[in-house]
Amino acid sequence: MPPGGAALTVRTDPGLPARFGLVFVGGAVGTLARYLLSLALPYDAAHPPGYAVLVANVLGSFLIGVLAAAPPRSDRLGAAEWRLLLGTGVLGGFTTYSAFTLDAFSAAVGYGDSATGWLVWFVLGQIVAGVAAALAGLAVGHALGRSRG
Amino acid sequence: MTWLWVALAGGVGAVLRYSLTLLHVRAGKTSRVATFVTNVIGAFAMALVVSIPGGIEQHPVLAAGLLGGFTTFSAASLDTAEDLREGRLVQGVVLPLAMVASAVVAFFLGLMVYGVLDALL
Repeated sequence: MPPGGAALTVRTDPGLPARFGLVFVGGAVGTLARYLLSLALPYDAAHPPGYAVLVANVLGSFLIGVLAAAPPRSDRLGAAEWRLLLGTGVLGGFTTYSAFTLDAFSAAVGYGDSATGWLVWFVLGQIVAGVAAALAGLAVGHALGRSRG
Repeated sequence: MTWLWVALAGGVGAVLRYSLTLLHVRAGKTSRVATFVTNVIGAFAMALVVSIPGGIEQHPVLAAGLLGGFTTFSAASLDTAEDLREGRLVQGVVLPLAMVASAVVAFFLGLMVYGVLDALL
């Protein structure tokens, strides 16, 4: 933190109610986007896996990488506020671990009519794909950051 | 109008997750620990929702909304991506595997707890 940076951070740091508000609005938007995706690709517990969750989790992991490396800039919202709105809120709400656990549990106990071995690869593959997507997002974000100077 | 309730529940879930993160950070823990704990609690709660009559299909506000908004996959992916970039290879491999294993165990415990409560009540 450069000299004077701390004071600047304190001045622009949003209060607790504002931070909860940003996370709430972002979380509602992200959750709604995932819900609409799940209507297009519905989850059927008897026939896992969940493709809507896979798409949301990998796409959300890519976008959070971009966000981490190239946070939006604006006069009205500071970097911390953008991170709460888009990172903690929208992408935290868009991606999910609870529905992902349904497939992980099915893979672990051999529940459902999908081949269990295939489900294990689907679950481990989703973790690897999420990390790879976040790495790709970080790379894209760093490139964006360099191009805008 | 289900979509509206799902969205609002997702907002509540995200605020609960953020509150849990603030409590962890205040207690000197990292946000990685907070994300881990959040997702394990969410897995346990998901087992309860799966078990109630109607399951997740009939309770999208609880499953897709509240628990979907509460748990997160993107933060875990980013944490592990940063671990790998910064050479924390053991943590980068062990943390995601420990998280999914713990979530599966928590889900199993949730099914058992629901079964016991259902038998008793």
